[in-house]
Amino acid sequence: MIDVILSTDFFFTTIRVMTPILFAALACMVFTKGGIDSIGTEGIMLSCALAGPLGSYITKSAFGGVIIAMIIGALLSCLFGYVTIYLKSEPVLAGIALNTLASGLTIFVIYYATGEKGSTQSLMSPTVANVHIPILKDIPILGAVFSGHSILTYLGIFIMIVLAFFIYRTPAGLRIRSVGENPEAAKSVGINVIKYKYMSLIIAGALCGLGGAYMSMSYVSFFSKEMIAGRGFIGMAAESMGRGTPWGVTLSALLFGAADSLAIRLQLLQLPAQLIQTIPYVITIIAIAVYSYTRSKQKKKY
Amino acid sequence: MKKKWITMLSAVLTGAMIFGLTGCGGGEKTDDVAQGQTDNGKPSFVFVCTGQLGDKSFNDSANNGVTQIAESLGCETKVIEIGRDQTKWEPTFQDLAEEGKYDVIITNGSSSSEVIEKVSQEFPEQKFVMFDTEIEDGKYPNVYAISYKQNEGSYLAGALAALVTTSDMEYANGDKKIGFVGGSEHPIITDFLVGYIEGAKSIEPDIKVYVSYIGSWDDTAKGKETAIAQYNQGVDIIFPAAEQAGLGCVEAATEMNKYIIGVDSDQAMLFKGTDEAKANVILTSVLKEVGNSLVRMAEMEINGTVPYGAYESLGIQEGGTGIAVNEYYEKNVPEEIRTKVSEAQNKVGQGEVQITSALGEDQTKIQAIIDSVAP
Repeated sequence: MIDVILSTDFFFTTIRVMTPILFAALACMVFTKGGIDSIGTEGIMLSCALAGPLGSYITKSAFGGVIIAMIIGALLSCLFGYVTIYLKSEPVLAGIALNTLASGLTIFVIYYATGEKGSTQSLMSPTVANVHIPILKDIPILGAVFSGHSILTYLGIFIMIVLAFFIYRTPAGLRIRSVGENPEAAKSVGINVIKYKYMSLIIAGALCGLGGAYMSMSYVSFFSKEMIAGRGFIGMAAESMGRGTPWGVTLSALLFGAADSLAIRLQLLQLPAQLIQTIPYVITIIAIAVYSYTRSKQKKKY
Repeated sequence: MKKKWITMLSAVLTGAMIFGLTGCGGGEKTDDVAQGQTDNGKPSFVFVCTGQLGDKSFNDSANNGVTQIAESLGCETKVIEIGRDQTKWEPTFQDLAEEGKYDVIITNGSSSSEVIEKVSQEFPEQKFVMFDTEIEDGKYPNVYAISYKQNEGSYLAGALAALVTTSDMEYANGDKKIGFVGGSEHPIITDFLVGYIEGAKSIEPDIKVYVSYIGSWDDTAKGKETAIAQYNQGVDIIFPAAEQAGLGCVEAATEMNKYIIGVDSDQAMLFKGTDEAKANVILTSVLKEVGNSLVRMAEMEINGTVPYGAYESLGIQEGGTGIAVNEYYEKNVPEEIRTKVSEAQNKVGQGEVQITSALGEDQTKIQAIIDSVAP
């Protein structure tokens, strides 16, 4: 039993499962930092998951597909921003509308593009390659766990580090945070609130684009309807569990990835499937409980 | 001011809904397959497609059946796609029944049986036919239901899987391990599983069957992940009964050089010409011949012998279920194995083999069957 769980393969899988959740969680983090509701993440990711293969089919290159997915993500995110910031509609409703729109519109578009209503499998679109890291790949254990992932996975971790720097160490990052926390105060010191809101919208939308592109161009090689399957919402959960810090968010995404990959593996041991499928949720509840407990203890000290 | 925002919001939501609905339903597209044959004394049929055509599965198979009813039996038929929005289903059936233009309303009962059970009582004169479901005998006198013995088709899949895993085929390994991936635990999926296990045991009593559930019917990525986990355990052939999510399993097989048995539609032929690598790992597919069963029903309707008020379970003998024999099956499966599979098919068709059905069976007995092949 132990060898099923404690294998390099398990850790490798965990990273693969984590990647889309990481992108979603980072997007939610940037949304939240800019003071924008992140409920539309799921729908934006789904649209981008379609934009990726279509884009790579049209441009004949995986890179083109990823860029188009990021652009579509940024555009949809800005649309959401326009509706909620400029038109001041209720963000939760607009987010739900965006998610509903995405699940219908994607089927509509693949039907017109391929004549099918389930997936884009008939389009042979280029996909993002997996890469082996020189030197690292020859190290025992570490190589088997950390080498051989999708380029997008490494990009995700790199972006996480860049974001950690950008949000906390640059003037623009500071302004995004202040706009998100208190727009009136930010405005009073002359910060262009709208500009920084749109900046976070574009960054978050592009991150959703990367997450979507990972799903349909790397994880599997095609788009299929509803393929995000709640990863956008899990990203929201990871964001709040990680308390909006880049490292916390990444660790939460990793935890969700581990829980999922554990659940897949435990089924092989003939444990009841119903019980196993609750694992990711149980882990979430435990993690949030532990976090809230330590936090409330810290507060009492002061 | 506030009113303005509300107007804006409702405009956005309406827009989204229009897109959403047309997307889901592929528009309110209707196909008039044959017209102007109402006066020939033959019954007329309308197929109400809950969901959309183009699923390359049940709905398309039913649509083919309806086309055949029009072409070879010369009956008037019509196909209406009503999308996935369940709130629209009941009114559509009520309208059709009230209009009374079609003698028989056909629909997919696995999702809409409750609606039909209700509407059929409101309109006792209208005949309804549901496929892929069962009804309580005698309770709904104007409803005929067709169910499929999926356990017979998957019995053949199990036999094939066991023959492949013990063979020296290119991607088969030495382990006597085969896999089954379900979308989620559901009586019909368990019925598939039980047939699969019994088929495999009929060939190789010591076979080990890995059973996993994806927990979703759409999550292709998780389907792929689940299949990879099984293949890593030494499984060399998987039978995924998981709709869309099963496509992920196919991709895992292609990448890892393993085998797959498709389900519901002839999946290898779907990839023909576009993705030969995938077509070549799908050795065969377990089929529910919805189209055949509807043509059979239409023939009975013309003769007035449809047993309304009851359901029929169609197996290999009635052409209601089976496995796909296509060019990839003939090319990739050695003749020796194909002969043994068709022997098994004959035995099942002639009723020489008793296959357990999970439908209505005691749960502990089912569990015992699953445990008997647990790795």
